Amino acid sequence: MSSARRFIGFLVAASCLAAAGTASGYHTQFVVENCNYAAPTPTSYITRDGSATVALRARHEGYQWAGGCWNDNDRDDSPGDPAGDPGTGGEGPDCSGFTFKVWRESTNESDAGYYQWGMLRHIHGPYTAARFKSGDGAPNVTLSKSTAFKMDAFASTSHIGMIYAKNADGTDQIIEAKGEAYGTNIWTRTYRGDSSYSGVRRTGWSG
Amino acid sequence: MPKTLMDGSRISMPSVDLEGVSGDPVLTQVVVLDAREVERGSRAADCLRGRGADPRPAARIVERVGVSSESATLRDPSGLHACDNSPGPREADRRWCGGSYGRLYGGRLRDPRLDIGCRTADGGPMGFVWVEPRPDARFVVVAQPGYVEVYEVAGGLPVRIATTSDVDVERSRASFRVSEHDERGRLVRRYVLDAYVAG
Repeated sequence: MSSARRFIGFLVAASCLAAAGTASGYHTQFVVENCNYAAPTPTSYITRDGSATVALRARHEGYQWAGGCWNDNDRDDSPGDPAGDPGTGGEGPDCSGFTFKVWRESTNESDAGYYQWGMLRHIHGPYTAARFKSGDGAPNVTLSKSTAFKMDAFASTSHIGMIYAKNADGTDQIIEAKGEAYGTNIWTRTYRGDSSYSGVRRTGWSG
Repeated sequence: MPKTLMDGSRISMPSVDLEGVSGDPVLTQVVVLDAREVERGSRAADCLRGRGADPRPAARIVERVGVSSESATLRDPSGLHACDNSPGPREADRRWCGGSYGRLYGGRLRDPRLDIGCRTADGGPMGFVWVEPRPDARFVVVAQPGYVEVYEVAGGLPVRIATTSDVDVERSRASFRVSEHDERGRLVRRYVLDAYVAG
């Protein structure tokens, strides 16, 4: 074997070892270095436009399984976290944590009041997509998908996304935390016509 | 030490000594049903109706009753569904105070699917998760304040366990102190399961 081929072989082996090490012990410092556990600010009302603005700040900020903390610099500061690992400490929400925070909900499920959580407050909330789909929690109700509009949500047993805008062709622009490979953003979706999805509404909007 | 399970039945002890377990053991109840033959009004029927699970084909349902918990677990073609219950307060007149869904990846869960929707009788937080015991495990033992709950592995499904301690609602997480034992009670493994609400 030539020395050049041996060197290439060494590089391949070293790359594989580096990748294996990354996969088994992966974590970022995003949550540790940036996030907090501050109390939320109770507010007296919630509006759909206001919540849309809150949701837009999470665009391009990544995705983290069980996560709920992000900044507003329009990039994922912990790209490529291993999917399904809540301990990687990365930036961004998951789908249900995103909905909880944008809907200004309480960790007390019997409380339908409004609580403003800071972007950097690391919080997921008590609901999974499946529980949102069932209308669990005092603030949440199920509703006919035909009546769902801006900042209502469509939920399946494994995913939830909020309506940013309704399209003329019956699809919707959904703002959602989609997955580690995609992050959090707005995509055109057909959840309204998908039988595995139900309509969910946060109650008490004042506008 | 508790005297009854959540449904009012008297507690019983496991049939074997459990190696390395300190605390009085309480054997939880377990029933395995065919999802196509559940009786109207049963725990399983209520769970199937409420969670939109698809009972085809010939799915089994495992019902469990513990000291402060009750659950039904169903596997359908898409994954696992659970309905969770406790003696505590809940919304309106709902039969179940919580539940979970877990998609299966290669036949296994990606995480234990923590549910913190239920409360103890005095309003304290509770957590429910699935554990996937090792193949040689017959019993799953969970430490509770002042006693341990013993769950029999059944129905070929992950075991839905509950805890009334180490639940942190503000951080959407819970810890479970678990040991697994074989049919003679010998310790298979012991671990602390840290679970987070996710997805």
